[in-house]
Amino acid sequence: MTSLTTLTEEALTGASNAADEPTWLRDRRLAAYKRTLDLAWPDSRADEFWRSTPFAQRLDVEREIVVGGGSVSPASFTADLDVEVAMARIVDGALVEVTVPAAMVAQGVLVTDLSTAAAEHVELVEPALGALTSSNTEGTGSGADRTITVNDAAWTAGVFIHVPAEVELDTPIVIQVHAETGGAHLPRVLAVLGHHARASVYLEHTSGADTDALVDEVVEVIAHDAAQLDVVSFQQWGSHVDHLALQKVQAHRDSRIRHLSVTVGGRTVRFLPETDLVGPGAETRPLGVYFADEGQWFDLQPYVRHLAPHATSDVLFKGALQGNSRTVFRGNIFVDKDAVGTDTDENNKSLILTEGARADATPFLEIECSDIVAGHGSATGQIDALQLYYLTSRGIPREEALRLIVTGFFREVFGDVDLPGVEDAALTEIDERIAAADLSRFQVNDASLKDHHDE
Amino acid sequence: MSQTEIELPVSDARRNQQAVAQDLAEYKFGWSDRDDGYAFTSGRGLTAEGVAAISDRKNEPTWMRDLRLRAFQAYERRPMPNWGADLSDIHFDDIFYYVEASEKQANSWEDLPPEILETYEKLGIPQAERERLIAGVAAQYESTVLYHKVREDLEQEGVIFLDTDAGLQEHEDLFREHFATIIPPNDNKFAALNTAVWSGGSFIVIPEGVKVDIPLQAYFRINKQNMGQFERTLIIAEPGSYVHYVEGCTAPIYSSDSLHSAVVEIIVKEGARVRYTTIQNWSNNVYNLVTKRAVAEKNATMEWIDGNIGSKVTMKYPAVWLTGEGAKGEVLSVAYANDGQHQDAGAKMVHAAPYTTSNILSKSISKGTGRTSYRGLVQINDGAHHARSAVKCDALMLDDTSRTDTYPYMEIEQEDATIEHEATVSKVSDDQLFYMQSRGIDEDEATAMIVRGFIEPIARELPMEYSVELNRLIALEMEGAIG
Repeated sequence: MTSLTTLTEEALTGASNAADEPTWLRDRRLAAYKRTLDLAWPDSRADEFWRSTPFAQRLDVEREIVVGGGSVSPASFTADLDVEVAMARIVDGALVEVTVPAAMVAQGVLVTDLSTAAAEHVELVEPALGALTSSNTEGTGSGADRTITVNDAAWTAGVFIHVPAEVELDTPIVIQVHAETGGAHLPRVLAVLGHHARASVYLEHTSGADTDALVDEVVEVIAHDAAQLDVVSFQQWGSHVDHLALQKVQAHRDSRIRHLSVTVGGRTVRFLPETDLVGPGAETRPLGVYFADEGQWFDLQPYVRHLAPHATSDVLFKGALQGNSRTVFRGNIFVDKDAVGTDTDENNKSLILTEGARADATPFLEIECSDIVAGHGSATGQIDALQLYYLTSRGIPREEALRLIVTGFFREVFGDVDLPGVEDAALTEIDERIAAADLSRFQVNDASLKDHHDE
Repeated sequence: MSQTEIELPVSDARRNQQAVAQDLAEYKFGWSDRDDGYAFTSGRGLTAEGVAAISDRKNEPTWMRDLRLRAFQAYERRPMPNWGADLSDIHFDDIFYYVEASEKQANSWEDLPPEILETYEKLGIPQAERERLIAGVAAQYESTVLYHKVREDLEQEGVIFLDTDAGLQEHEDLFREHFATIIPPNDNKFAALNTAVWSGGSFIVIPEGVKVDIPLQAYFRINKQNMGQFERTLIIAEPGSYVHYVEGCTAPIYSSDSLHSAVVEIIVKEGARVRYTTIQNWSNNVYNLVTKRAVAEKNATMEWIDGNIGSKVTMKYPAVWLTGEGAKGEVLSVAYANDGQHQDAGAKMVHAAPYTTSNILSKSISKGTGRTSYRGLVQINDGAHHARSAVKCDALMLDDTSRTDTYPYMEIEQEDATIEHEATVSKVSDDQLFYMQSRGIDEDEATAMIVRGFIEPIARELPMEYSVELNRLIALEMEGAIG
C-alpha cells in the first residue's frame, strides 16, 4: 500500500473511483496531489510555523495509510448524557457508523459520508470543501504546508455536516475518530451552517493503548451569517499517537464561534484551531485546556484573522505540565487594515507542576489597523503556597488541596461553556491525570508567602 | 473709543515645534563629503583574500587573522534569516567592506583632515567635549576611528577607552581572553560577517570599583555610498564598577543602500553596572543589522537603552545573559517607523542563574507605510529558580496605513519562574484630541504631546541632551502626522 510519501496518481484515482466519488472531487484530489509534489515536508529550522515542533525528529510520514475500517467500538462520554446525539464514527480510516436522531433528520440536518455527499449534495460540498485549506497564502493552516495538502489529496474517511438556515440544535453532533491499527490516518470533516443556524460539534479522538499512529486531520467549518457554532475537540489518544490537526472556521457576518480544545493524550500533538473572521460583527473564542505529562509535546497554535470590521476575538489557553513534557502556545492575531473596530484579547497561562517540564508561550499580534482594541498576556507560574496554606488551614488534606487548586486553575476557561457533558468530561480527564501523578513532587511557589512576610 | 487689539502669544511649545520643523525639515545629517580621497579601501565585494588583506593592513597577530578567516567561512555557510524584515535588497557584492579615510588617528580636533573636521563640527561633537558633558569621546568615520579622547583623571584611575584596533594592539592578552566569547563568530550570519571584517568600535575596560560619573561617548558616521560599517565594541566592567556608554549614528542620504552591521559584547562582572545607550538615526537607506549581547555576572546590572529612529530596516535585539545569581537585566526600547521603514527591534533575556530578574519595556510608534515589530525572547533555563521577568510592549499607531506587530517568545524550563507579558496597541484617540483642542491646543501639537507622553518613561532615563535629541527627532518624524 501507500504512505504519505509514496502516494501516486493511480492509487488516488483508484480509491476515489472505488468510493464512487464524482469527477470534480477526484480532480480536486489529483490537483492537491500535484501541489504536494512541489512541497517539501516541513523543515523546523527554516519554517517559522514549524519552529515549535521538530518535524523530522518527532513525526514519521513513512507509515502506511490505514484504510478499510475496524470493528472496535470506542466509548463516548456522550453515552452517559440523557440527550440523543447524532453520531458519526470513524475507525481505522473508514466511516463505519452514522446515526442521526429522527428529530434532526426532520429538520433537514445532514450528517453523512463526505464522499457520498460530494455526489448527492454537490451544490453544498463543492464550493466549501478545501475552501479554507487553500484560501490563504501565509500562516499556519495554509495551502503551502504539505501536511495539510496531503490530506486534501488523500483523506480516507470524511464526514459532511449541514445544518440548514435557521435550524437550531440543542443536542450535539458527535464525531469519533478512533485509531486502533498503527499507521497514518487521514480523517476529514466539513461542516456548513446556514444563516441563523445553531449547532455544536464534538470531536472525540481516541486510540488503542499501544497503537502507534500518525493522525493527519483537517476540519473545515463554514458558519454563515449569524450562525452560532460550538466546536469541542477532545484529544484522548494513547501515548504512541501523533496528531496533526487543522480545525479551521470561516465566520461570516454576526456569527458566533466558540472552539474548545481539551488536549490530554497523544505523544506529539500539533493543533491549529483557526478562525477567519470574514464578516462584520463576527465573534470567535478559541479556548484551550491541556495537561502534559512525561514524553508529551503539545504545540497549540490558535490563529485568528480579523478580515472584517467590528469583529471580536478572545483567546484563552490554560495548561498544566508535569514530568519531562513540553508545551508550546503559539497564538497569533492578525488584524487587517480594513478591520476597524476590532476587539481582541489573547491570553495563555501555564502551571508548571514538577521539575523537568518546559512551557513556551508566544502570543503574537500583527496589526495593520489602528482603530482597534487589542491586548494580550501570558503568565507562567506554579502552585501558589498561599492558596495551599489557606486550604490546608481549613482542614483540607494537602493532596486534596493541590487537586482543588489545579482544577480551579482550569475552571476559568469553561466560564459560560454550558454544553452538555463537556466541562465534566474535561475535568474528569484532568482529575485522572492528577490522580495518577505523584503529588509530593509538585513544586510550590513560596514567593507569595515571602511577600506577605515582608509587608 | 479705540479698540485695542490683543495679540495672543504663540505658545512656547508651538514656537518650538515651528523651529524644529524649519531646522529639521530635511534629514539634517544627510549631506555627504567627497568620497575619493581615501587612504585605503578593500574594494567592492568580499573574498577570503579581502578579509586577509584587512588583517594584514592592520598588522594584526596571526590568531586574529585566523579568526577572521574562520568567521568568513561561517558567514558564507550561515543562511540569511528567513524571519523578520525583508533583506532581499541587500547587494552584498556592491558593498565596500573596508574603507580607511585617513592614515593616522588625530590627537586633537585640529589635526583631523579639514573635510572630516567639518563633518564632526556639524555633528556637534567637539562642543560636547569642550563643555565637559562627556568623559571621553570616539569618532569613527567609515571603517576607522579618527579621534579618541578620554579624560585624564579617568586615565589615571586605569580606565581604558580605546578604539578596538588600538585595544588589540595595546592589550592583546586581555583582548584575546574576551573577544568573541560573548558572541561567537558563527552566532548568526551578520555577527560572522562582522567578525570577518570588523574595524573600529570601542574597547573599554573599567577597573574594579571605578565609577565613571558622566558618559563615554562614540559617534559613528558612514559617508561613502554602498559603504558597510562593521564596528566592534567590547566593554569589560570589572567588579563593582559603573559606566554609561552612549553612541550616536548618522549617514548621508544616497540612492543606493548601505549596511551597518555592528557587534557589541559586554561583560559585566560581579556587582558592576553598565548602561549602554544608542540613539540610532541612520538615514533611510541604511540596513542596520546589529548583534548586541551582554553577560551579567553575580548581582551585576546591565541596561540597554535603545532608540531606533532612522534606518531603512533595523533588526536589533539587545540581549542580556544573566549568568550570575541575582543579576539584573533591563531593556528600554523606543522605535519610530515612518514611511518605508521597518523597525524590527526588541530584546532577549536569558535567565541562567537563580534569583535573576529582567525587565523589558518597549514603546513603538508607526506612521504612514512604516512598520514596527517588537520581537523578544525571555528564556528561563532549568535551575534558574526564583527568576522573574516582566515584559511590556506598547504600540502607538498614528494613522490607518501603518502596521505594528508583537512577537514575544517565552521559553520556560523552570517551574517556579514568574513571567509576565503585557502588550497594548493604541492610536491617538479622537477623545484625547477633542479634549486638548477644547483647551486651545491645535491638533498637530496635541498629537505631539500625546507622543511625548507615550515615550516619556524612556526619555526620562536618557541623559538630558539625549532626551532632548530624541524628542526633536520624533518631532521631525511627526511632521504632518495629522492629515
